Amino acid sequence: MNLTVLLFLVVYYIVVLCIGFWATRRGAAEDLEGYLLGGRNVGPLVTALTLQSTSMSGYMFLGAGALSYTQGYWGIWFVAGDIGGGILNLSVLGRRMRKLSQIMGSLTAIEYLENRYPSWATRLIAASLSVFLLAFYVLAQFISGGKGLALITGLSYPLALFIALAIIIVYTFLGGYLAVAYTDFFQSLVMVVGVIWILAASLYHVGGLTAANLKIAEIDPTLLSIWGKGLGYEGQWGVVAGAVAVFSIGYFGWPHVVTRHMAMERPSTARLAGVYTVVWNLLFVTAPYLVGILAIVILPELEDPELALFRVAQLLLPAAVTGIVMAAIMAAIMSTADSLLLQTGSIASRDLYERFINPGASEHQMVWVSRGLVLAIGVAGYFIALVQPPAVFDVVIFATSVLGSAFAPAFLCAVWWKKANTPGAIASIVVGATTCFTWQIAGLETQTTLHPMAAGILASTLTIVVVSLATQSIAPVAPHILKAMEETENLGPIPREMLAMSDFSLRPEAEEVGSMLRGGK
Amino acid sequence: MIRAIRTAVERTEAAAILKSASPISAEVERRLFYPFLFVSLRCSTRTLLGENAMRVACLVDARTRLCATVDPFELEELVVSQGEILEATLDELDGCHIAERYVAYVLRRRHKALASTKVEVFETALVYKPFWVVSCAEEDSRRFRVLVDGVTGGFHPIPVKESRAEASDPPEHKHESESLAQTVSSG
Repeated sequence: MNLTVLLFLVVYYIVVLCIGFWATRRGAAEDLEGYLLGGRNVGPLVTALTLQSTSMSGYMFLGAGALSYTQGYWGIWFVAGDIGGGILNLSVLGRRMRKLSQIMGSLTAIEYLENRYPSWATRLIAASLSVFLLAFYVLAQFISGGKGLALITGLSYPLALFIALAIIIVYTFLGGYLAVAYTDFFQSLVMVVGVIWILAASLYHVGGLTAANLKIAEIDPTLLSIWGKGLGYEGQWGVVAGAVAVFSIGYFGWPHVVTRHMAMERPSTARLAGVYTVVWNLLFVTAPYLVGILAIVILPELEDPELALFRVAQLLLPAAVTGIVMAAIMAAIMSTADSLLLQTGSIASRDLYERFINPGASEHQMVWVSRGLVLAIGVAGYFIALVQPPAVFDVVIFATSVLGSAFAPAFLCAVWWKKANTPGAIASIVVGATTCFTWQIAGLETQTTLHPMAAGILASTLTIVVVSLATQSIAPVAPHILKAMEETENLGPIPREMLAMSDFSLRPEAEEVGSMLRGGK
Repeated sequence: MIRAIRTAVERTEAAAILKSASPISAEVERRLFYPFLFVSLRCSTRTLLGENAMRVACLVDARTRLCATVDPFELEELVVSQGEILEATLDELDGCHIAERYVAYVLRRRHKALASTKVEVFETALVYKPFWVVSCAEEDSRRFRVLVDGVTGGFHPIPVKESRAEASDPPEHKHESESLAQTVSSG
């Protein structure tokens, strides 16, 4: 345990606490209320960094580095998907989904699915699947938090895991202003600066990327290829497609990311936030993978590859900086875990408990259902992470692949294909999840050279198309849904620049006034 | 007599806003008053830094049931003809329920906490928001109508025709729940 590291870790948290306290009690109170209620006043930069920091999970700090450390430049496929995923997601799904969810009156992603594909079965299947897979995803955050805290403090892993888990759960139960925009913004700035600092120090330490590559070639030249250690994935384009798809198409299926599309601010803000997101991704997403590669040279005998980024930071950065950066990383992990738990708890209470068990449930009862589930996930997660901790990389890839395979075609077709109907969507969710799950459990990737994600997406896409077309006569898409989907097509000959400057929030009033002018009331 | 949110964008300004957005001719056709249920709520959430209480105001669209939080605004009493008003179709109790549910959901999401938010309605009123219907024409004489918000100056084209599905759309398919409508900046 390094006392300087610990000291700066504590100082960091005191600063964050002070920012939160100041924002709550002092001059920012009015802005803060604005943020709490509408997202206004914080601007696209804060919005973008806040969203990115909460979506950057323990995977980036443990999984990404471990992948590069063990498989070399093979990790580049995951980087490509990750960089493109956010942009693809915003452009293909974001704007249309925001409009449709608003028109159809949906608060949550699952509620949106049920409104678009009306059936109780849609919600039951989608909500159950989401709760199960998000709980898995949270498990990765628990393990990341535990490992990180153990390394920083020198505590044993079981104790560090318990402390990290307890902090995350208390944080989720009580929340408060530690997690609002200004502190998230500050933390994300420290995090990006810190990760880039680690990368710069690593590059300096090894004498640049070319020198590092020459040294890696001496250790194992296959690590320099894009086919993985020992050229294990050479020519396996099905596996490559899956690797790219995990964080590109996979994003489409994440309920917690999809919900953000529904809550997006006006399109102009979203576009600017998109630009910041690209810059962030280019800087931040690539860095942990590169550090993992450089760690092959810096720490060739690392016993736990998941700690590559932490160990390199400990070795190369000044103790004070290490303390601050570690604290920011730990805060990011906890913030992500908190968001995921909140999302999981909301789905369980609103989409399962209120919808199927107690339709008249009060807000208070629903909060307690959410808390019960979070506590259960915490206890189960602790024992799994203690007894047989899976690799963070494996857990994240598993959860993302199954979520993406199950939901991506359903969410995409919901906005882009008018013939996508309820039987098609339900069948697609079930077939996609089952295929991907089976592929992973049965280890079919090696035999078929097809990544589980690629297999799952193929299966769910084919299913939604075939079943929807086959059942059009018995289960046509409801008129009010078609009307909502056609809403962009009936505006008439409007100049493009005027349409671009339109305030979409006035759409419902414009519809009503249009209806009145056409002779209605 | 109606209670309306004070007009900030006058007739001439409404047309000017559209002309500055695109090279078109624009002429205000009429003014309309759109109904909203104003709901003022007292909210309190327990956080790490103690009990946090705030007052939140919402406008619930009295025709589409969409809800949005709103900045403070001024009201004025106006005498207008029946033809200038869109009829409200929302029951006050339903409106309060929509506002309570929406605010509780938004607060929990923004607080990032599984904390119970107490929400209590302490004032409601039917208010109207002024809009301008502006008739526009491009150089090639193609005509269209635009709705201009008489408070914010924001605008949106008015749909010119029924969607294919509209004719067969039963009235009960109107939105059954509130949406994540973004904040209305009313003043």
